[in-house]
Amino acid sequence: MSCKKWLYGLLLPVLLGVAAVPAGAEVYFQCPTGPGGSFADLNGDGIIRADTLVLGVPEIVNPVTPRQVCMHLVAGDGFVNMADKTLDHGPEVPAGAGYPQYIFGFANATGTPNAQVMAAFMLRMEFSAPTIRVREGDQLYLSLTNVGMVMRPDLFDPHSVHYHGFPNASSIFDGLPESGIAINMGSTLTYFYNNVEPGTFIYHCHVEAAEHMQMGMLGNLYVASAQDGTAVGACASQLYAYDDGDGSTCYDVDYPIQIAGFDPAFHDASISIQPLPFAEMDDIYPMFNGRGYPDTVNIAQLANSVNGNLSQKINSLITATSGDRILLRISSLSTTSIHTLTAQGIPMLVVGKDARKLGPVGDASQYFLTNTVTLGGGETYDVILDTTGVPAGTYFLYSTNLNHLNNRNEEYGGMMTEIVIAP
Amino acid sequence: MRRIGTIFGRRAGIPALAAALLLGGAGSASARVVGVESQTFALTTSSGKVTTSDGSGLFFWGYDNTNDTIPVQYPGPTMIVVEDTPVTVTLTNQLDTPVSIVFPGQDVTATGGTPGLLTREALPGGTEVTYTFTPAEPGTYLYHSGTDPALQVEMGLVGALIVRPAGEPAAGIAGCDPADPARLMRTAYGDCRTAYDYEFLFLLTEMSPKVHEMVELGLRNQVKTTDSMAFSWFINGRGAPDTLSPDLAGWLPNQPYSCLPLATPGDRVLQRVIGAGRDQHPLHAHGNNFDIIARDGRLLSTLPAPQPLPIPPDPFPASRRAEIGVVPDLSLSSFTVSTLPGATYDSIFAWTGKELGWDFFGHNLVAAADILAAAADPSELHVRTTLDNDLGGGITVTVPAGVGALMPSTHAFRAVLSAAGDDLTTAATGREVVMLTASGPDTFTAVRAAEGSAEGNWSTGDNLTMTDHGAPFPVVLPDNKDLTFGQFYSGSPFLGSAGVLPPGEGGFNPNAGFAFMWHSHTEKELTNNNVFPGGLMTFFIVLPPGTLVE
Repeated sequence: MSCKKWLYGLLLPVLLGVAAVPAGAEVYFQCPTGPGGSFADLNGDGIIRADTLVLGVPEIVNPVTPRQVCMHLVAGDGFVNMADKTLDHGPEVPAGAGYPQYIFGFANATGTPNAQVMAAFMLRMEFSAPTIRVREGDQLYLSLTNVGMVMRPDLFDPHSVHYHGFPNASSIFDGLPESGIAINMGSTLTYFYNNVEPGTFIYHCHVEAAEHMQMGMLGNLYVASAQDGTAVGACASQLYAYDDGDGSTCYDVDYPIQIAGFDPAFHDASISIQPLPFAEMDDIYPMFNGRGYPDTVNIAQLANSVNGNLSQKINSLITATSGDRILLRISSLSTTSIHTLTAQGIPMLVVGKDARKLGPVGDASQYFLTNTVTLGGGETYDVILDTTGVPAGTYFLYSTNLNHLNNRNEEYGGMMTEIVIAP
Repeated sequence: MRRIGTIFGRRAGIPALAAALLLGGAGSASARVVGVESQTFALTTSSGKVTTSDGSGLFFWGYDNTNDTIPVQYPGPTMIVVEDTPVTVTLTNQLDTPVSIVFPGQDVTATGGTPGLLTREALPGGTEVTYTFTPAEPGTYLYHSGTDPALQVEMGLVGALIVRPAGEPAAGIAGCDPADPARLMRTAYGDCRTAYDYEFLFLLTEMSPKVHEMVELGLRNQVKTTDSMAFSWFINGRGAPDTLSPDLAGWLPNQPYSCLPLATPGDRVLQRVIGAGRDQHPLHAHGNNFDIIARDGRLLSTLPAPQPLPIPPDPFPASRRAEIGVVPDLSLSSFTVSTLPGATYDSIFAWTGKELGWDFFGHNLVAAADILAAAADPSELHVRTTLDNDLGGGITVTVPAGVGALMPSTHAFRAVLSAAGDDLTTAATGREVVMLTASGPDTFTAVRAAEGSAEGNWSTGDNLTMTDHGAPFPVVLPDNKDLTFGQFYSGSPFLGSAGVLPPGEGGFNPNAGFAFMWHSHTEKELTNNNVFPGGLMTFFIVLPPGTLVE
C-alpha cells in the first residue's frame, strides 16, 4: 500500500495553476431571469428560490417562473475519513483520525462567483453529497460544474447528475452519459427539473457508474409535499410526506438516511493510480449519510485529515420529542449489497416506496407496520416512526446485516445511528 | 368527436429502423416475448459456451429444444403456454450427470426416468422423463433443474415459463382504451388492468467463472457452491452490450434472446422480470416509475382477473390510475424492484413525457418563429378537453365534470387555449398559454398569457389542452467540445430530432429516440469479469410516435 499518498493533499495548492483546462471551457451558472433580473442566495442556505424573501427582497428578481429554484453543484475529488478512529492507521495518518479515503464527490457552490469556482472547490468535495431539498411545484435549474480530479491528472472523466426516480425523465437531463451528455472538466452543464412528484428520491453521478458511485458521488434528494403548510386531517405540524389527502403521512421531523459503503481496496487503488478491482468490490466501511458510527451521531461537520476540508457535513442523529412522528427518508446507493434496517423498539410504518405513497389519495389502507425494511441499491422507502407512548431515551436505527455494524476492523460501528427521544 | 381525455397512446404503421437497430443480423427486436409457443415440449440437455462481453466464454449446461434449430441455449427455451390447457414436457439428457426440471408454482406430475430428491430425473444416456401440468393461473414463471440445483442452475439449467390467459385471442381484447373501444390490446392476466402494447422478458442471472472452469475441466465434484462469487451478470443470458443485439444473432449461437425494450410515448410495456439466479438484483428503470402488478404469477389486487368491463363512468373494478390506463388496485409503484432469487414480477411501464415543462419535440425546429403555432403531436397532448365557461379576460377556468380529475390538483401546470376548431394538431396562431392551479374538482385559477403568448377571448366550447407543446427549452447547453456524448445520444435533446455530432459519436440511435438504461443498481453487477461496462444492463428506448415496434 502506498505510504505517501495522504501527504499529497498538502502539495496540491502549488499545482492548481498548472492543471490544464480545455480551451473555451467556461464555468457558467444558469439561473435565467427576465430583463433586469438578478439572483442571489440571500439567506445563505445553498439554494436560490424565487419565493424566498429576505427583508422583503426575493432571492430571484424577475424570475422566469414564480417557483424558480437555482442551485450550483460542483463535481470533482476530495478526501474523507472513515470512523475507525481507535485503530492505528500507520505513520501517515494522525493519531485519532479514522482511515482516510480518497473520494470523488459533489459540493455546493451556490453563491460562489463563476470565476472563483474552480479554485475554491478543487479537491474539496463532500461525502455524502449536499442534500437537495425542493418542493412540489418547484422548477429547479441545477448547474453542474466539473472542476476536475486533481489527484488523478491522468483522468479526464466527465461528471453528471442523475436525478434518480424523476418521473417522465428526458434523456438530455437524465444524467446518463450513454444516452445523453455529460460535462467535461472546466465547464458547466445546467439541468432542468419540473418537480411535480413529492417524495424521497436520490441523486448520483452516472458517469462510469460503478466507479464514480463507489467513489462517493451520492446524495439525498427529496421533494416536499404541496400540502405542507395547510391543515389536512389532524396534522398539527402541517408537514406531510405525500399529497395524502387525509393527513395520514403527517410527520413532525424528517431525516434522510442514505445507505452506502466504501471498499478501501477500491479507493486506495484509485489514488494510487492502479487498476480498479470491480469484481472483488466489497464494502467493508458501511455508512449512513457518508459516515460510520459513532460519527453518524456527531452533529459537527467533520474535517478530513488530509487537507482539512470540511468534507463530511451530514450526520444521521435523529432527535425527537416523545409523541412526535419521525419521517425517515431511507434510500440505498450501495454498489454491492442489499441491506435491512430496523428501528429497534419503535414500530416502523411504511407509507411510501420509490417516491410514491402506498395506495391512492385519501386511503391509508396499504401502509404497513413492520420491524424491518429491506433495500437494494436504487430503492427508497418512507417510514414513519410514531413515538407516541415510546419512553424517552436513546434507541438505535441500524442494519440487521450484522456484519455491517463495523468500520472495517473496528467493531461497534458502521450502519448504526441513534434516535434520541426527549420527554 | 368530443374526448374526455387521452387515456392510451396511439401508434401508426411506419416501419422502424429500430428493429435493425445496431448491427443488423437475422433476428430483430420483438414486441412479444420470443420463445416457443406450444403445449408440448421436447427438451434435452447438453453443454456449450456462452459468450461474455469481455470477449471470453464460459462453459455452460443448458436445455435445448429438440424441435427447433437453435442449439443448446442459455437460458433455456422460453415456454409460452396457455392457462387451463395441459402442458407436456419431455426431457432427455446428454450430459454426464442426472438432470431434471421443476416448475415452481405448477402442480406437476412426473413419470419415467428415475426418482430424485425433488422430482424424477433423466439419467445420462437418454432415459426420458415426462412432466405434465395444467397451469391454473396466467403469469410469469420459471423452470429450472431440480437436481443439485445449487450447481446446475449456476451452470445454466434455467428458463422462463409464460402462461397466457385462457381464451384471449392472439390480437387481444377490446374495450381497454376508452378513447378507442374497438382497439384490441393483449393482457397479462385477462382484463384491461393488465393490458399492454409490448411485452419484454428480463430473466436475471449471474455466473461464477471459477465454477464453470472447474466443471469444464471435469472437476465438478470439487466445486464449492457455498463460496463461489459471481463475476458475470446476464439479462436473458447475455451481458451488456450483447443484450442489445438482435434475437438469434448469429454471433451468439447459444444465447438466442435479446433484451431491448422499445415503445413510443403512451405505450404500455409489460416487464416480465424473473430472479433466476441465486442473488438479489435491484432492477432500476430510468425514465419513469413502473407499477408492479403481479408477483409470482398472482395479481396484486383485491379482485382477481378477469373482471368484466365496467360501464362508464363506473371505474374499472379493483383498479387505480397508472401513467396510462389502469392497473390493479394493490399495484406497487416503483422505480427499482429488488428481485429475489426464484421470484417473478410483472410490471406495467409507460412513458408520456408529461409535465417536463418544455416541448420535448422541440417544435421550434420546424416552425420558424412561433413555436406555439407549430403542429403538435397527439402524444404530447396529455389531456384534451373544452372550456365549460366563458373565460373572456377572467381567471377562472371550468372544465366538464370529471375531467378535472385527470389533471394535477396539487401544483400549477401548463395548458394551451385554442379556438374550437383548433385541436393543436395542425399549425395555427392565436393560441394562449396559461398556468392553471386547481381551485375545485373541475375549476382552476389561471395565470393568463404566459410565455409571452397573447391573451385571448375564450368561451365555452373552445379547446383547453394540458400540454407542454410550444414551451421553450429551458437552458442553454454548453458547446459540443465541453460535452462527452453517449452512443445513444442523437445530437439533439428532442424526440425524433437528430443533431450534428462530432465524427464517431452517437450512432446507436438512428430514430433519435430517448434512451433510458434499465439496469441492476448494484453497480458492481454492471461489469463483465472486472471489465466495466457490461453485465446486468440494457436500454429502453422511447421511439418517436408512429415508429412501428415489431
